[in-house]
Amino acid sequence: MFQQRNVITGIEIGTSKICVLIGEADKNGNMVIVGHGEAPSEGAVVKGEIADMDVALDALTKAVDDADRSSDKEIDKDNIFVAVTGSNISFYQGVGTVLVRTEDRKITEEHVNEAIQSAQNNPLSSEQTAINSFDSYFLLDGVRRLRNPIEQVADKLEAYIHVIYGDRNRIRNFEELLHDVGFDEEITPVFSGVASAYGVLTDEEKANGVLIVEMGAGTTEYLAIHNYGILYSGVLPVGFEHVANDLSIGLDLHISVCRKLLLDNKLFQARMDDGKAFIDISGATAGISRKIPMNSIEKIIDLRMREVFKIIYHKLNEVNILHSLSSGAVISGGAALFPRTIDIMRNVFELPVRLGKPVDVSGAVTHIGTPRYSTVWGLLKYGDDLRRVMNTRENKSIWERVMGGFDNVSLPFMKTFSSLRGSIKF
Amino acid sequence: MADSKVTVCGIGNSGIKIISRLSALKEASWLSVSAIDTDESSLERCATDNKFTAATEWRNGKGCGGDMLNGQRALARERSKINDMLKDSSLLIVTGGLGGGTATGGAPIIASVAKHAKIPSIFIMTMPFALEGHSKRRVAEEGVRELLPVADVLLCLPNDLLFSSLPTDTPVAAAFEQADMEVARAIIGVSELIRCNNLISADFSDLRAVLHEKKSSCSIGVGSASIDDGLNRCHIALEKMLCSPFLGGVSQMNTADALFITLTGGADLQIGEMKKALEAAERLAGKKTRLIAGTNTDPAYEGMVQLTAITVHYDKSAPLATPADSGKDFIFPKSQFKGREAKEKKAAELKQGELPLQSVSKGIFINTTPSIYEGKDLDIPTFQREMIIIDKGN
Repeated sequence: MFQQRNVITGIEIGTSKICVLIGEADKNGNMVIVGHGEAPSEGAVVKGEIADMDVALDALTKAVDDADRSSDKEIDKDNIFVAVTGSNISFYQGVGTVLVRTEDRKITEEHVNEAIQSAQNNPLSSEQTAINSFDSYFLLDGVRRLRNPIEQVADKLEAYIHVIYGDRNRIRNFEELLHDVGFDEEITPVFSGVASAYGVLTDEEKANGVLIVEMGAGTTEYLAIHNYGILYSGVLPVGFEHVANDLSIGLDLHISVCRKLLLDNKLFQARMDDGKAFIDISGATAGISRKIPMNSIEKIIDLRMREVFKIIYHKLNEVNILHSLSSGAVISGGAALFPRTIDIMRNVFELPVRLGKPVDVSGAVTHIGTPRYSTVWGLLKYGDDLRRVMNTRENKSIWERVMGGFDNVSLPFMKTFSSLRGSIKF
Repeated sequence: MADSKVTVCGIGNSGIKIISRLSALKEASWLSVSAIDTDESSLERCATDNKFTAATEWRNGKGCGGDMLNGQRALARERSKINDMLKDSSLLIVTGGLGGGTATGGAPIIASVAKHAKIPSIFIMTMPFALEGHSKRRVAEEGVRELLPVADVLLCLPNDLLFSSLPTDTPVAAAFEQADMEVARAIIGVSELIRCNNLISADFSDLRAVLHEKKSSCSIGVGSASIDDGLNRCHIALEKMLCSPFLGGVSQMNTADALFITLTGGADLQIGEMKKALEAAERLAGKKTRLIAGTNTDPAYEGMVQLTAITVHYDKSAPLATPADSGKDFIFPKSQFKGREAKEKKAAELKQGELPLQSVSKGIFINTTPSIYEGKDLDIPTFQREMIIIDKGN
């Protein structure tokens, strides 16, 4: 099912844009972008969910055509990754326990797989489906918390896994849309937050503990990672469109004027720095120019952004995760381009916050190095990682392939670990 | 203190009265004093050079007429001037009386300028007298709500407490003078907290850390005594501190969750005195109180000692910071706070009545699946849900 393939396609159907990115692994195994296509969503996607299939289909077709044209590669129809999000997405933490009964009581990969499988035995309702699944950590004898338990001596192994699931029908919508465009093979859905984490985080951050917040136009995804395991994830159906909407309601401006105001950094930030008290906005009603107090704009934006970050803060605080985020937080997505976002986030979380841009980007298309493309770039990185893991599995015994089939085993979150697992001989 | 410039800014009529008192005190000589008002005549009375009238061409130097939106606009026009005033300060203390126009509307602007310039800010604001009526109180509470998200530390001192310790036959002029003096003393006391050459350190970050944990209410007591007052000047200072009107009595110290005590003296401060004073204060604190004690000396206090106490009571009904208030340092004097709580309950009842009206303003999200979080519809603008007035400009 998984052969040595090099071309990977990532598709993000976002609230502001629909974006297709084609990448290819070069000789050294690095991901290189070979094609890129993009089209505005035109209201086809609301709060991360597809609201109008026809409009979305038109935009996606255009983006795919552009991507096809810009690369001379045929899109590999086996390796399609699509980012999914929406308020229906949630997670559960599964626990699987295995008693180690072998003579030397050393944990083998067999034990690990068994533990992970029993951890996944959490009944989702028939309307729900698992999207991605990752190891969080392993617990030996109920006390020792480890990333890699193999070869350790213990009586009891507990696997904690993080399963992200969503509403089956809404996830199907994303896949159906891709089928309509002409991809008839299996499509791998990836939670947007996971994709962003792959796209922008460094290995050091993933090891030390980091929170990534991806604030797009329609939704805000967040993911807390510690020691290469996902501890918490979620989606808030509030995005930068809400900020624009707040401004539009609060100041009686047209929504398009507000969007422009937020996207044009010069308009807002330069005036802020100059200490100007007003901003002239023309064409609000019948060409009459209005003076809008900077203070009001600042206040509306501040209140909304603060609220979003506070909800996330509160959720993480409830489960005591904040103290394990030694590397601080990363903000990505279109909203991260707005200059005040980092300040407000730093203020709420009281953690060092950095701007998350796609890491290790190379290839013909170089303009994707902004936070807007974190998710779609992350899809390629994820696909690349998944391919590596699967290749390692392919080389193993048939028995293990049955035990460790793609559907049953959760994915380790980092490259090094997957290769480590691969190096263990049976 | 060359390396730590502390700016005290008086805003509005009552703020200027307080800083006039303050600049007359020799202990305050190291503070950089500035004043902002929209009313020219009140600024004339102020001795400091570092002052300006906000938005003269718009308000004509005639004040705001008690309208907080006017105050907000007037100060918002002067962002760059405020920035010049604050620059290279290591701490900003803002004082004024909430309930009027300039201070209520302007304080959040100053806070936001300070935040941009990355200067920590403490707001010591007085709340109006009960006899000034309900409407003024409501304006003041509106101001508190606006100030909370932007100020690092907010201390509200209810004016009603000021006169509680004075005999009823005190002349009115003297009573008000006394009141301004008490606030000025409180400012000095708080500013002493962050002196960089503290012998035993108790500093701004300590205060911030303590206040940050939970929603809390607090009170301030300041007492000073000179060598002429008697042999045991530390004891006298302690007694004066305990009598100071904003503290609300010894019981406040006994029951406090956290207590800051700072002792400031001249070069003649003796180790025995320090020990005695801090030990006496320590005995007053309850067993569970987290005590943060500090000492420093300053030539301006030659022959004098001053004791400052800040008591912090955590709000028992809110064990953990809720999303609405976490990240804010909210200090409210105890007696004041109860009143506010009751009013908030009332406001909540009113709010429920208004909800159906507000649900229409969802703008572009009107036909989408609502995003509900803890009973709140997140599609409705945050400022509407928190009932904050927005100036739409003209």
